[in-house]
Amino acid sequence: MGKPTDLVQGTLDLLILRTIEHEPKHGWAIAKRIQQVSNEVLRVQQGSLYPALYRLEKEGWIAGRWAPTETGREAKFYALTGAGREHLEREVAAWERLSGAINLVIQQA
Amino acid sequence: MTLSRWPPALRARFRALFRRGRLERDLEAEIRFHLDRQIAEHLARGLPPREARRRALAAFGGVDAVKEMSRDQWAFRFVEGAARETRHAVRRLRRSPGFTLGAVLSLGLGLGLTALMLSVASAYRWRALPLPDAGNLVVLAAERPDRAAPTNLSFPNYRDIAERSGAFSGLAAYAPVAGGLRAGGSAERTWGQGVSANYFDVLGIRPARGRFFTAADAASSPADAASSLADAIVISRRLWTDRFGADPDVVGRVLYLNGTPSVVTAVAPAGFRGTHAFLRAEFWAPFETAERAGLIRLADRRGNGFRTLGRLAPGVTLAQARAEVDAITAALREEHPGENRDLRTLVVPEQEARPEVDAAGFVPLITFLLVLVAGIVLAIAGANVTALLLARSTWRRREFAIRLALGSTRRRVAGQQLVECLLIACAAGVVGFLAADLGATALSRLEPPSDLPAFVDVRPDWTVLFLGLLFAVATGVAIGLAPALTALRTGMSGVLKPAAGSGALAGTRLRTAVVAGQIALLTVLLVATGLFVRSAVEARGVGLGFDPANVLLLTIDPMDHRYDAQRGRQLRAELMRRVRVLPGVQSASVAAHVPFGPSSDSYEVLPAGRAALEDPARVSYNVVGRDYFATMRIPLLGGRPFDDRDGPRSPPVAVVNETLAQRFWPGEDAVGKRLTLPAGDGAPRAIAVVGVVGSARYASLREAPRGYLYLPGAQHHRAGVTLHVRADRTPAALAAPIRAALRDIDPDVALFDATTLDALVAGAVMTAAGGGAVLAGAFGLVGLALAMLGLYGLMSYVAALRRHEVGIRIAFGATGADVVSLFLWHGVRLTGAGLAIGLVLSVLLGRVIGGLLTGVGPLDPIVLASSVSAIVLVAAAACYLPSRRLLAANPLAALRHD
Repeated sequence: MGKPTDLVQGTLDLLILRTIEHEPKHGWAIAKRIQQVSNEVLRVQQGSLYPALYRLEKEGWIAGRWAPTETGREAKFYALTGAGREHLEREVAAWERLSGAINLVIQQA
Repeated sequence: MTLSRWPPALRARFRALFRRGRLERDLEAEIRFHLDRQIAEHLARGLPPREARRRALAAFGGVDAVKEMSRDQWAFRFVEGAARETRHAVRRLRRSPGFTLGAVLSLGLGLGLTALMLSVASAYRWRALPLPDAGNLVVLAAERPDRAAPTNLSFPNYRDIAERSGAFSGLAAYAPVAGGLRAGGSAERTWGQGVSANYFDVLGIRPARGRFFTAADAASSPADAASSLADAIVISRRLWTDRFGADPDVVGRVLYLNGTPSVVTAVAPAGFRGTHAFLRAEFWAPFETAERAGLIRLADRRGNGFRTLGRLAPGVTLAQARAEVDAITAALREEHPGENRDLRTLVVPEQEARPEVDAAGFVPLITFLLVLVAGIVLAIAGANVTALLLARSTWRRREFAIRLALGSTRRRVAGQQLVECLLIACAAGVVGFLAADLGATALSRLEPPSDLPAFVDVRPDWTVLFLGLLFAVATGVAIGLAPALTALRTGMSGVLKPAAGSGALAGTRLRTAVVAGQIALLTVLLVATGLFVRSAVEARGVGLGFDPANVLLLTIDPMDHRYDAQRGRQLRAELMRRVRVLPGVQSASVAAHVPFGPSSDSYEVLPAGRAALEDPARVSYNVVGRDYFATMRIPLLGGRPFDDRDGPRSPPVAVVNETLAQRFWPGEDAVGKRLTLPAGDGAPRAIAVVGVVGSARYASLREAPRGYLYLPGAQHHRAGVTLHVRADRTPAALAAPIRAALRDIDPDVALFDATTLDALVAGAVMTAAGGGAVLAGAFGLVGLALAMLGLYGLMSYVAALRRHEVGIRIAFGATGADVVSLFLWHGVRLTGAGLAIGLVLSVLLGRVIGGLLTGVGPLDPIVLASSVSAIVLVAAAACYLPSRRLLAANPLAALRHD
């Protein structure tokens, strides 16, 4: 286990990757989606999304592309890359192992 | 450029570096898009616009913070940061041009001098010769009991060692020669080298044109003119362009060396000037050719004019070579017990035999001293700039505090200081390197007073450049350390405090130490300079034994076969007859050698009747004409000088100097005694002493008194002699009439090497004091200027910072005298501490350089006293002047500074 910040950063990455797994989205849409799907529990500080997106782009797990939105305005859409998909699977597996283990401990104690 | 094939991280960095603007715009657009959407959503829910906007921004977080965090992801932060810091530092430095200029120039001078001295050290110690595989070159040196330092070899000894030795893949010899070289036009005196047949083999260089002669040619038949060794000659590229007009068919052309024809077989590569440390050679002739042209004597086994250069055979170590040479030398000692008595031959790596085998002993010392002195100057300059930087950074404490309050970190502020210092140091490095290059060029133009084509190459090379850069960076860090630390220690409280006196002086201890150190170093420099200067003065005042004023010297050397002994005598006699009647001539004579000149002769002389002396030594002698002693104003102590009685068929006579007379016949009158001189061809000759003259200095100003012999020109033929003409007033004015007189007699003979005896003596003084000493003196002056500037600057800053304190004191009733004495007391303590340390260091230095001084001890009281008083005087001024300025200002204004 790393420092708390590592945990938060890794989790944010996971959320983002999962959100764009099926279709590319732009930054605002990703933020709204996370908020929606988590039943308003996870209110990510919206600004911190963008540094995370750039980092993921640097790592090569997502790729950004400027494209017009439904309103006609251009926005940068992020899509999952092949390497990103693999990374996502690994991270999901790791997360499930981790949360499973924590659950066991909590239920036992 | 297909970026898509690069790994994504690299691509991102690439974009960050080169497409920065685009990234910024994209980021801006993305954030704006996001905010607009969020606002739109709120508006759709019915919120008023201002509320919608506020909520959107709140939800987003700080926009600028987000931008910064995003930028952080774009890598190369460090490089960008460094670039920005550098830009800011440049701007800050430009705002205080006086300080920046002063700092850069001071450091530049120090770095430049250091670089120059490193170049000198490099040229005479480390730099490899520009020859292939220069690492395994060795030099042979001969050690004889009657000479203090090792010398070069004689030709017969060299030849025997070379023939019998297997330890060398090649052992070559060379000797500087000069003669009249005629290439179709008229003969000009040219310097070159007589070399052994394998010279170019050992060197391993390739000719620019033609083909070098080699050892193999020595065996070829002399009838084959094209490759015969005896007629071959190699010319330098400069000779080729100057005398042959860069003729592409120069190979095969004939030139005349002292009238002897030689065939040009090759042109040496550009820039090659022979292997002598100082002389520039324009031609290379095999020893046989040189001997036939009368340029060199090969037969003398006791000579020492032949320099050697050899390469160790593969697999042979230096120790093995030494052992073998020792064995050969032992055999040579047995075979020639007379000439090779107690001879030892050394094998020395080439780098340790620069510039000459006899100078190699103290070259390391000299170069060490030079670098040390330069280092001292650099240290002083560095200390100056540090003090100024310290003062400046203390002044900027409030600025640092404000920066910290605005969100900078201490490390960043300290880093800014460091960047400034590195910038100053790098600028200084550039200035210094240019200065060193200039200095080296100036040095290489230094010409000794003769026609010797001297050549001093101390241009900085890549090693020096690299070392200089290292020094510059180290200096930058060194000077930046203290101010950076000051910046680190600054707290935000600096903002609130109105820079009261106590706060400003908190760092005084460090500064005081720096200044005291400066003064100590300066003391050492001044003492060293004073010692060297006095040494030079003493050397000049040393009794010469003759009067050098107003004597013109011209050399004549009728270099073709038309002048044998008799005709040469006639030519000289006729010339002297005409010269003596020229207006303005007091007296004139000829001599084979000039004092402190490059040439000399010696014989093994014995008083008649004695088989051998307890400590036989060769006695130097000169062949002189009539009126020599009168022209040189050498006092006649007994007997008579040479005159018309001493003709070629008269009994052989000689004149001795007092030292020789005392040595051979102590307590008696030498006149009438007889000497035994070895003859060139068999039986020794007996010569009668007809006169005794005063002893003089003959070869160097620092020589011990020694015996000297004079022989009459009428009885000993010398083709080349120097005219000594004593004039009433300016001797140089006589040169033209004398040349005209000679032209009347024979237009094909030339007079050259026109100089005066005064100039020769001055040159000898320069040598006695040592070129290094003159340089040290120059550094001393520079160091003085730097240190005093630094001291003054520092005291000014201290004065400025203590303005408030002074104002308060004056308000409380202190007088001007009180304030001034306050400063002076501070200065006295400072200077005293520095002087004390400096004097101790000077004593230590004196021990080291004692050997290089003439006529003055290392603890000479005059030098010490004058150094101390000079420092005290200037330090007093440096302390006094700022205090005056302080008083002149309105004390109330000082209080109201904030």
